[in-house]
Amino acid sequence: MAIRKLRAIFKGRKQQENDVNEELRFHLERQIESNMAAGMSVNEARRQALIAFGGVQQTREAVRQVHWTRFLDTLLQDLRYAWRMLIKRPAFTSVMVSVLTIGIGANTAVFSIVNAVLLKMLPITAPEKLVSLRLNHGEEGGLQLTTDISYPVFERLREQNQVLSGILATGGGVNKVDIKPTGPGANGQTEQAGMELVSGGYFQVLGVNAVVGRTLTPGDDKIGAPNAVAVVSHGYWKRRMGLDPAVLGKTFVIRDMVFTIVGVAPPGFFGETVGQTPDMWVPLTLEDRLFDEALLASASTSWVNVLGRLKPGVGRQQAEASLGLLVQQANADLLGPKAGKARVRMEIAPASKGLDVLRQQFARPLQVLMAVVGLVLLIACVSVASLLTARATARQKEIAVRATLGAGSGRLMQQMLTESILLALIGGTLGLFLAWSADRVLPVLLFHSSLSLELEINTQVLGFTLLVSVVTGIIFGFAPMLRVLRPDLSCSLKEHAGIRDHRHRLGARKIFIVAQVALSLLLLVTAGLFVRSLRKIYDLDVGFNKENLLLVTLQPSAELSGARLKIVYQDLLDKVNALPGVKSSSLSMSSFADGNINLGPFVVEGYTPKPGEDRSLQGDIVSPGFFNTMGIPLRLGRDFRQQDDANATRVVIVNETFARYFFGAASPLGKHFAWSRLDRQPMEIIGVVKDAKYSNLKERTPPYYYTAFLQQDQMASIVRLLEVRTAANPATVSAAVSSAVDSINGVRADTISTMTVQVEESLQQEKMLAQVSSSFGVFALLLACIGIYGVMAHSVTSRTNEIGIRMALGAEPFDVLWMVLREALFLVGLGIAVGIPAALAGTRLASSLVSGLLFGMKASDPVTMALAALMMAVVALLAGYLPARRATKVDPLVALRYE
Amino acid sequence: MGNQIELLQGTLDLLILKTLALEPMHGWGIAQRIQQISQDVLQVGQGSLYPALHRLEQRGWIGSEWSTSDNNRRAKFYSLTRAGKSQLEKELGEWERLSAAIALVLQQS
Repeated sequence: MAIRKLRAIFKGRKQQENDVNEELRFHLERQIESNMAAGMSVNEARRQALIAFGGVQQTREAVRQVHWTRFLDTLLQDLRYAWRMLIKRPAFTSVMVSVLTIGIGANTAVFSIVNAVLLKMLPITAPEKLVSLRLNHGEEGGLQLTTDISYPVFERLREQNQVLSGILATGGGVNKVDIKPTGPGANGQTEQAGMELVSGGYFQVLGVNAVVGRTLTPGDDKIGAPNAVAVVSHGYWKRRMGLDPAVLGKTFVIRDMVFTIVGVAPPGFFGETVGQTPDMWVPLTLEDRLFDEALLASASTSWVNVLGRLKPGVGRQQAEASLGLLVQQANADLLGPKAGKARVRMEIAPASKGLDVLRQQFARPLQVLMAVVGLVLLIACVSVASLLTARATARQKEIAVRATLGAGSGRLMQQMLTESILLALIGGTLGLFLAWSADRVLPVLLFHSSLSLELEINTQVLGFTLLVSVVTGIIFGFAPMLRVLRPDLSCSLKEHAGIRDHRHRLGARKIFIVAQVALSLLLLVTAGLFVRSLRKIYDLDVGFNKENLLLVTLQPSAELSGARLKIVYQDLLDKVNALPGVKSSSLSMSSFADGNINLGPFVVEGYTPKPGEDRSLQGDIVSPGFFNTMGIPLRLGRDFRQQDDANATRVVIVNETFARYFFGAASPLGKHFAWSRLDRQPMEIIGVVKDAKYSNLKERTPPYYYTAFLQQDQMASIVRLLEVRTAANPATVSAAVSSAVDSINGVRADTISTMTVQVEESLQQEKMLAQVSSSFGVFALLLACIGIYGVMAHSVTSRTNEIGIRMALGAEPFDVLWMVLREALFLVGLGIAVGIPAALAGTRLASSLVSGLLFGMKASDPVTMALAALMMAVVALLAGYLPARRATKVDPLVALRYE
Repeated sequence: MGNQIELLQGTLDLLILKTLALEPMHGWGIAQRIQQISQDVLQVGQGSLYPALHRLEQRGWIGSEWSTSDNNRRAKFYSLTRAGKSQLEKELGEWERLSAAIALVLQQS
């Protein structure tokens, strides 16, 4: 019925126009007839009628004006009325507004992230035409080996290709550099900035113009170009320079090189990778002057990310073939005929949404978050609808009076919809502020601190919030309308409706409670799954002692290599070990969650690989004392010693999984393993250590090996991590360790962290999901509590009479208490009965989404379901208790007189 | 036609209500009736008649219905509602007091 009314309102407009036209036509015709009857000719009659009538169009306008004025008048009147109704009951209104604020705000906040990460295309011209270019070197130990491209090969591709309309290269990522503004007005302070190296054609190929000055040009990016120039991001210009219009020509210094700012990139342009926000772009050819390890001239080091645009009419395969040939030629010219023969293919893939780690990594958690906040909004809707229905019941008399005074039901509906949409819009506006502040916190919770995201409340987000608010308002506004429009006026006008009628009226609210319980249960199950999964991860054995372990990344100078580096590092260890509070220290290449070497194919003595087996292995390079410092127990054999150096037999230590996988029950000690491709001597297994976690806590422990730092030559320089086992809180010695490291010539402490922090950071996603979903779960429980309390309180009031009779007939207080609680439990039971199958169905539908984020449990985990249901039941009892107790206090005599 | 008088704002509403008090009528009929009864002194412009009719209808003083006119064509007939009747009485009372007051003032001089 309400829907028909609504449709009538919209249909009415068109109908009205037609009616007015017909009415005016009729008038004219009658006038003509009348003129003819007075003896005029047809033409004359017509002419006179039109003259008498005046402008038909003007009249039509005037009539329309009447309707418009009327519409605006009503709207204003309705808004005023709605506003009066809202402020008349401030407590009630503020509960509803806060519920909506949280519901809409949460959705806006998550949407703004989803919008930035998943939906926003690169802010560049025709991004869908952009492709990424990578080299495929064929299979290597069961792995498809793809790499970036070396700079000399990129130059060849740029000069000689026939298939691309544009090509660009970047240094692959943002480098944190120390910059020092110079020139007049600069305070000479050094600050950190994110810099990206890009080729001269970068901005032209992306189709991005500067908002101030110019972008980089190919002329800026010539090897040996006299002037170093930079384009800064809009964000940097705003943040660091206060949008100073005199930005052009300002200078700063990076590593003794003076850069001149020639332009500012447009706002919203963050480069080619979502999730990275460089502060400035500088020419790629400066690489060899900006970094110690100069890669620019090397044709064998693949380090530049290459993007391009295909010429119109050129297919992907054609381009791959043509560019592949160019690469082979270039390799042959630059690296010799042998390199030219290597199987190298060009791989072209669409790059329209950026070369984004962020999207791949966060798509799932973001979708889950969106679903969670969607659920929250639904719960908010239901609970506001329930509250409004309660109020509509209270307002029924007022509405009935208005209806008898001639307000049509369409008019009443318009009024009530205005009220609910106004309510939702207030909630939406506040929600926007909530989202705005959440946008400062959420990305930090969601992403690693190294990734930054430019979140803004832009038109898309505003539009989303407006849409959500209006739709929300319409949805929850419908509920009380169904109640109001029931044509039951005479009944409502009576002061007392009977007991039966009250029960009947509670029906709708009870349905809301059931729906609310079911939806809250879904949310609780989601939260429960994430929380329990996180607990399970925490309960895992990491395999090393993560407490009191300081991690320092070292920055050895480029001149230190081979034997010299080993001596310097030994000095360093001695110095650190001598510090008070330090128990031991060691060196390694990688730490937890920090990347390992992955090499292959391997050959293990006495082991025949299965066909199709992945023949790469993960491992680390460690110094003597590493296992002791880390707290990884030795199971068999011995640790590395100082004597295991370059002249001694090559040795290796493996983990238990390695031993079990390759040797079963037999002892691996004395066995050998080697890399088949690299011409290396086989290594003898001298020890077995306990399994540990290497990449992340959730991984299934892989076979893992440790090689000796002292036996490495070129690989030694990638050993850059210092572990320090401390007696107490590692924070107390971190300063001392840092200065001890810096006191060694040629080595600098880069970053200092602790293992506990590293482990915690690796769980960021899981923690975020658990925190966010359980906070919303608590919110849902609170709302359910309020809802159940409201319904039960109302129920008790309307049953006072009945309760009085029961007590007069000898019912004990406990019976009355139980009678009320039973009703609350029944409602919740119904909700659970609906919610559990819904949760099961939901988790099945979303299993691909959720199960990847869960650890050690299925999405249909029965324990979680049971816990959620139990929690709901407890809440029902709590919420029902107060009204139930009030019921026991009913005085039978008073109650019987109540009617 | 030199003796026609432009209607004052507000008086048209009163005339329409009064006319409709006799019987339901369409717009043209109302205009004709007012003209006839006033012996062509009061000329109702269509540019003000129809907006006035729609305004009155929205205020709930008159209702409308499509039905067949005397010449067998569909026309929109307006009729007085209950609210319109009491409004008419109120406005009549006001009009009488106003015209009596004006008459008093004019007789004085």
